[in-house]
Amino acid sequence: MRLFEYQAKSILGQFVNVPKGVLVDKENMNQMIPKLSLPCVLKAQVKVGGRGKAGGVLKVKDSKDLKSNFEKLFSMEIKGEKVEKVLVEELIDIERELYFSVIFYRPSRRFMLVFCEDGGVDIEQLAETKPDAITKVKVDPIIGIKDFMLRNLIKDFELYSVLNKFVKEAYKIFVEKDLVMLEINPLVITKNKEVVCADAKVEFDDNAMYKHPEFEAFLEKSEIEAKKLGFSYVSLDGDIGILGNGAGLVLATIDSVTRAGGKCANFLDIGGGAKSERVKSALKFLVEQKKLKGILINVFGGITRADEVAKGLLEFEEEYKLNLPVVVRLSGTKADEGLELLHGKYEIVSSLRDGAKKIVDLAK
Amino acid sequence: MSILLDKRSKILVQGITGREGSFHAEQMLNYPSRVVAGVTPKKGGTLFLDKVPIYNSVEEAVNETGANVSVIFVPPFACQDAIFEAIFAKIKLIICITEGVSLHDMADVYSFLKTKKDVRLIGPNCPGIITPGVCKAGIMPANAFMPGSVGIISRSGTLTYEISHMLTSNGIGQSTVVGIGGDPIIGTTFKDVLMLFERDTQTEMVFLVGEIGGTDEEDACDFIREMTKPVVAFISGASAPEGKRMGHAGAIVYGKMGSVQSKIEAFRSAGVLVAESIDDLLNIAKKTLGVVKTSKGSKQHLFEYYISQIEGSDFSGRF
Repeated sequence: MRLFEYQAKSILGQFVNVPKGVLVDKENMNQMIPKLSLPCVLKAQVKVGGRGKAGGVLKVKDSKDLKSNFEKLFSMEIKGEKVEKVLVEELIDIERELYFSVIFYRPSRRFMLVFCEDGGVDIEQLAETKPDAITKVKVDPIIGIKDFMLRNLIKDFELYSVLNKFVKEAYKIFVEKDLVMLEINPLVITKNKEVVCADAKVEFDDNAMYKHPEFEAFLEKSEIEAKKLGFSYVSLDGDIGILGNGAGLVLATIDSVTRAGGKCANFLDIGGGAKSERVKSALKFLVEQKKLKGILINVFGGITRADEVAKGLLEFEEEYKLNLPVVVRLSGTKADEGLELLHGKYEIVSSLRDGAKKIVDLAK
Repeated sequence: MSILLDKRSKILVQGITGREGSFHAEQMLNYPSRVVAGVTPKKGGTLFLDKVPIYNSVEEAVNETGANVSVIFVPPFACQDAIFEAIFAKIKLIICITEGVSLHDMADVYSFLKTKKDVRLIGPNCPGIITPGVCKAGIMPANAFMPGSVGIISRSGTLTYEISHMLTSNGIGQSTVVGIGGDPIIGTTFKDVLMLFERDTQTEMVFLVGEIGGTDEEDACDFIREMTKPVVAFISGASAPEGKRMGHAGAIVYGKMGSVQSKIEAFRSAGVLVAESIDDLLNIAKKTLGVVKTSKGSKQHLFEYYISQIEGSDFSGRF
């Protein structure tokens, strides 16, 4: 789960310095305006990069500009994301801007510290034009970080001594809070030699939710729904609904439908071991999201039992009356029982290729 | 011969009394695999299906039954503990089926495993391993598989069943099928399994089923260049929208690594045939192995041939 900046800072603020700030949304804007101290900076809260370039960060010196600036931000859409909340922060006394991140480095299954003395800039571009300016150090989770690693990361000794404690603290947050990514850009050193996280991007590992009830509050409505029901869902551009089990099979199903000339409306993986109840909710969720021209169900039972999938489909049909072409492909564990249940009621196909062709035809 | 499992593999099921554990332990027994023990703390001393003894700890189970393969079905929060328990009880092949194990839990396990060269972990979040006709240690639907000469390694469970089923219904059997799991941290990678298939006399060609994300496919290419056996790859997710990159931090560290294009290019440069679709895989297998093996009459004959090959071998616990 990606967090909003204000959410990330509410977590980071318990361990390291973050600027003082308050959250403002459209509804409470007018009450909040008189309470804000100036000068301040208004930051649109979106989960996509490039916010600054898109004009989503505004400095305000005069109280008469506050309202118009808020309105400007609340009417914005940054890379398809509407601005619903604005974080208002105090201005900080910047002496130096740096870049720092900790991420999970998949190729070696280690964590990696990334540092650059030039912060606040477009770090992606810098990585291409001046790759040597960025230093990286891998960390074995069992050993944790040692000083020599930090000296390899931060070559300037003065900076090393200023940042030593911060980096260790940041790594501790990364581990204790089960993060996949923690990026501070810019990491600011103030004129008083304080280290402050001016901006923060945090990605949390959803699988660790049971250890961190504090993150539950950050879930969005659709995420809570999908999470509660136990499946993963991604919305796509097309109009053919896809329901399958296992990420790989669902991806391959989408590939097949695309190859057959159709456009998929979504990625929906009902996950392992789904019972009929979950299948029913997944279908309900599917048809609620957008207008569909047809649904392709492709399930290969393993830990999931195909008869449960069939039962879920029938229960859904009975309760909600679906007026859509549905093509079903069932194989694997309890597939015969499942197909028996669906016999004569739905288009049954025996291969993925046939299923893709059929649903594309029917959806026309 | 086959890899990782043989007829002497003695399977232990951690979490045998849970919903998934009990269902699949029974399926394994019916395959028939030798499920010799189950472990569920506090339920030691009872029997599973009136025949498989249940123990309170893995150590006890190993001492009493000589189990050498463990299949883990415990819930995510207890999974790291279960893996460590198996490692410390000296199980050599640990297969973790559990889905949803946290990244940091697995990062610790992975680091520790690097210091234990004689232990192999498959998964987590994987369907397990099947050597058709001989032994199933996992959750795959048995009727999708038959003995033969195609080795399969896959990151995706259901896609593995799909592909095996397609081969089987066309009379092409599999030597061993290994689902390595799709999580960011897995114990055994494509490269590890390719090495085993290269040495395996029964395997004539290898199917590698990959996915977008990660760089294990790219990493396997250096070894594939050295292989004598043909490798055919399929990567799912070609039409998926570009995956969520991990912000700038991910972008500056990974660059273009992990995309479908990067994987396909790496494969092609290593001489791997990349199948455009699942059906393509079948055509390639037919061409490589010769059409004679797809006729119905030869199917039974082949089945018997491979079983006889497997029966004669013994390589429990050796990698």
